Amino acid sequence: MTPSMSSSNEGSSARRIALTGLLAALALIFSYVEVLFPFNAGIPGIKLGLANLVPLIIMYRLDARYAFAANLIRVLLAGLLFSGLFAALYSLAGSCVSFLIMYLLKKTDRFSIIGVSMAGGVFHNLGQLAVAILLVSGPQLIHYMPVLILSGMIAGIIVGIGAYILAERLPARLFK
Amino acid sequence: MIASLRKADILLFFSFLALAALIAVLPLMRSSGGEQMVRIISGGEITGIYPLENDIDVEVRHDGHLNIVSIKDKKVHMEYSDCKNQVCVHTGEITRTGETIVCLPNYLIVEITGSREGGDADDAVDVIVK
Repeated sequence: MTPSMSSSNEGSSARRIALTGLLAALALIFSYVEVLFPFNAGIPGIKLGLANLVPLIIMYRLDARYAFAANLIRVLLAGLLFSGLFAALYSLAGSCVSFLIMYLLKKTDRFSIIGVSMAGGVFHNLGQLAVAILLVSGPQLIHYMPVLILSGMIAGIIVGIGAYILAERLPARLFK
Repeated sequence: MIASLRKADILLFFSFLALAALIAVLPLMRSSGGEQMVRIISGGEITGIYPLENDIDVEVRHDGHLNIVSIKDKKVHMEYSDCKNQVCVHTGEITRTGETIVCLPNYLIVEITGSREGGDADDAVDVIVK
């Protein structure tokens, strides 16, 4: 049996690539929706992070690897399309930290999808703050941590509730 | 949905709240003895230190960008910024030691410090005064 056939239960690499592309496109649409209708509650620089719905649900219903790949593509594309190179760097740092934390928390199997999403929201903001502290070389920025933690919690919980409802109701045949 | 919440979720929720509260309270506990100074840090370097007492408008230019920091009635606010998001302008007034106004796009930090002896202040003081 050739090596390429031994992993047949995961589908061919063409199928995996196509699926990742589809999911990345779906996540990008969520980013676009948020550009069109920013839910920022009057505070500039703070947003809901609707696009995190996609990696969350994929992580729970399909596979963390697809979630990671689709999310990475989404962040790069959305950053370059909607906010420029500078902001893309911040987004990338935020989402990598956030994804790592969500993946680890989910692996412990002690948190619900809402808790995982909340932690993801908080660490998305903290990852961006870390980059800001490095770039501006200003440890004083640490004073923004409380605001960033609170806004990350609120956004993460709202997105987490959405992800919970969707992950429960999406039909199983979608993920085969 | 409520039933799906786990013990660890609740624990994490309150840990985050406690952490946020702790960091928010820290600068208030620092003693603000002595004269309060306004420190302007542009591109990672201190470009000016001004007493909070004296009313002044400071133009800060860095890399082709302009910010105007205004000190008035022992309060500091960002009068103008040519940055895109205007977070610094919307920050409003700061008055207490340890408080900051930050303009990330223009690499600018405005900070109120406790006294004149504020770290490595002597290398580039009073570059731009208007």
